[in-house]
Amino acid sequence: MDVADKEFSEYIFVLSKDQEVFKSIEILLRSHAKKVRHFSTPEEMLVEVRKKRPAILIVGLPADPFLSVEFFEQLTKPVPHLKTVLWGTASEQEATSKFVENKLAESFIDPTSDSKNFDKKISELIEKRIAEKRADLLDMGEIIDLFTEEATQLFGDLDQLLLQLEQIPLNVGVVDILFRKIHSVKGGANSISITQILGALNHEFESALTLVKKGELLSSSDTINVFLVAADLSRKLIEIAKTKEEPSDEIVDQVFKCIDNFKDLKKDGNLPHSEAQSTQPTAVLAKDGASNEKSQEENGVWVSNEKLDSFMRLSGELIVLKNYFRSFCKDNQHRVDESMSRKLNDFTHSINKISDNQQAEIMSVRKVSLDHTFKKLPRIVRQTSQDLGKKVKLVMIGTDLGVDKTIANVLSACMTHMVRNCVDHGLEGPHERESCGKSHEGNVEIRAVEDRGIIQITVSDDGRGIDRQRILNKAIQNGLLPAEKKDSLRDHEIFDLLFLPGFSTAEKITNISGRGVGLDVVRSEILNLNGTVRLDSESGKGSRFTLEIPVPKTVVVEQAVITKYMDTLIAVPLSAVAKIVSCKDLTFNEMNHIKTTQFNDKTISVGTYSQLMSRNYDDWLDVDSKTLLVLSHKDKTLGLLVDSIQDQIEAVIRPFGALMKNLPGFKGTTVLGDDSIAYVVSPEDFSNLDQRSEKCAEVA
Amino acid sequence: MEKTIDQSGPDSQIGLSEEKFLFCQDRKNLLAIPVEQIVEVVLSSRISALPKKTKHLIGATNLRGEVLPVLDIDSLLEESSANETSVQRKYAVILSISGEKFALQIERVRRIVSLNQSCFSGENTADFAHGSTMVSRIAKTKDGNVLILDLNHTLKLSNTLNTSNGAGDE
Repeated sequence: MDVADKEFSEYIFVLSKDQEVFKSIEILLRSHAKKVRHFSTPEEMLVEVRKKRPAILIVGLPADPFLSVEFFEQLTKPVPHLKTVLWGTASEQEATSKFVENKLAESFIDPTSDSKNFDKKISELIEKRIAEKRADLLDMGEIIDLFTEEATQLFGDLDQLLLQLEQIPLNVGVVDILFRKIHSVKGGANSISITQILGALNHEFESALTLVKKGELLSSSDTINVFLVAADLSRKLIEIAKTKEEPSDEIVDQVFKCIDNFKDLKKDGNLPHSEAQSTQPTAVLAKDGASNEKSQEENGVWVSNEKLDSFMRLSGELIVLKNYFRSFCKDNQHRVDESMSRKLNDFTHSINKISDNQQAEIMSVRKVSLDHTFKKLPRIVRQTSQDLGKKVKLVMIGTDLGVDKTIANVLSACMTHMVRNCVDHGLEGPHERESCGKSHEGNVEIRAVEDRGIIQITVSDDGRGIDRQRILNKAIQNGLLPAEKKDSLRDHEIFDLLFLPGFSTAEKITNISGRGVGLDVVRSEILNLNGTVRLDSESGKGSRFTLEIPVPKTVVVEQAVITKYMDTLIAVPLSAVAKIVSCKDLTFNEMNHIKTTQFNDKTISVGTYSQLMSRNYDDWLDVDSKTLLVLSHKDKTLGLLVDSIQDQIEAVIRPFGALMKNLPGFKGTTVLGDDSIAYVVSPEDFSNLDQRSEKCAEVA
Repeated sequence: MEKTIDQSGPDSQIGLSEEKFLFCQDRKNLLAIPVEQIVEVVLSSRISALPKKTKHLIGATNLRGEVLPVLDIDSLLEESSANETSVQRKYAVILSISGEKFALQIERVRRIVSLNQSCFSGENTADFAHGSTMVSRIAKTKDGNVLILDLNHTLKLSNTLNTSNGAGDE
């Protein structure tokens, strides 16, 4: 096998009535190609030519009645690149010369008597085909990129549209949108050699939609199932086209099976509705009508995250410059007259305004709507409930919330796990629900809100709730929990066991769940975003997952109080400062070797950064001259002692690199107007510096 | 064999097996830093002290708006600075290792020297470097023994911040 043969991955088809003759030809061909197929009849071959799109056809004589000009035209029509070699004995050559003369076949060869020439001819054809493919890719590379990008965008919301069609079968607006999308993809696919099969699939899809529009095909559950499979396959084919490769045999078989299903649908579309269904809230359906034709992407341009981060960094630099200018004006205010001072103030005010707006705008660009992220969930609920024979209604609230793209990507994967979990484990079947006095249809609700920099996503169901005993038994059985501890665990500790890797209470492993991978992945993904996952459940009433993720910022700009302690400048985010008070106005106590004071009727621990870290108060001297910053984060409060308050600035926070990343209680640095560096407190980490402060409060 | 590269000296004089180092002087030590790890050498500017003293870091410095951690060379070389006379480190060598940029303050920067394998002695580095793991090799040159700094280790130091026996902020 030479280099060209190694690169050659397409089929060679051999048409021969005689199996023995085929075997002798196959031996010659095997040195050139891995994929050789034999056909005994032209009809068989014709069907497979359309599916497998071979590169070379070797057609054996004596001439069959099918070997007409029309037959060869039928062969080459779906596969324009097809190269045909006729073979037979020398006496048969004359009868077939018309095919060669009409360029329907490449040449006539007798491989049995002239195997050397046959071998040479096959090598030539393979080289020619590879050269064609290379040239095609060179010419079409950019066109393929453009097509796949456009097709990906067009098919991005196909599932939602199809599910809407299932909800409202006579929604002509939705059919029209679908039709236009499918028609565009079909047209583009047909113009590219490697996406012909995508074109063929969407041709059938389009035909079926025409029947739906005419009212000749019901958009029943079965119809929508076929449509959804076609949408999946189309997206798969688009992804394959992106790699400039041809689809595998397995995918091609799936596509032709889907094409057959389309044909069956056309014969009888009035199939009964299946049991399971999934719905979106009416408000969402009303909103996503024909007017929502253009997707978010169609109205703009694609910008990489790196580019956006770069804009954010530049905008941060502007703020640093602004702080520098402010500091410069402050230092030189005695040198300027009143008029100049007023102008400088106006100028500072303008820069403030512009930099604030710029930050907000760039932050908003990074956001994607959860509608976009969660669009696959109705489809997942529908599929899972169908598979399990359950009836499920999915309601999504607040999904117009915009979140950072990084969070959206993580949520996309996590929500799949959680929603499947709810449908599989949480919700009962229709009969069980009715016997409990519930509606036969189970409910899953997804709710998204953002509050004070925290994105909260809840996924709740009204199912049977979590069986505490079952979790405990499984945990003990799997050696995850000592048996003697089982009575001492609180509910949330028991539910936490479900997030352990490999933990599952499912008796059977199905394609939906039971392998115990899922919730542990959810938790680790959310933890990576500095978020939390909580599970609440009430027996017989249902369960609720709560995900909380802080809003991330590439360039964090925060109002901060600049403090000084000895030679170190410490920037404390204003949002975490509950109070600033002079120490001479305070009374300090000592409890369990920790210095404390009273704040809002609570006992809080106090100290310098180092004292809070080490709990060593040997250098507790001259405290009256110091200032106390009461830092509050969530339910934790503690007091930080500093020498003085220097300023309040808009701090551009740069995260630490690898060398400083483990400085406890701090999250980065900020450059001040005079070029000095302040270390920025992370309220979350800082409040954990003294875990005992909480206990002090409890004791008090 | 040792070659000194003056500013006009062509690099072609250097053999293929040779390595280039920046020779620096700090206290009594003659140090060599691999040139490929050096971004630039600047005059030292203000160092902002860390809230908590750590073993190998003395603070951060602002290099044209970029905040860089500053390594403590005394600590890297396991020198006991307390007993020595104070030293004025006028220069900062800016290094970049695995994409991580940081500064190393140095008393004097001497010149770039090319060393080949024959310069490196097989002597135990611990005898010269007070047991410092930052010194990978000793080179014998006409100036005396030179400690070759292995600053790849510095990145491993990032894990020492939590575990270091820093005495607090005093």
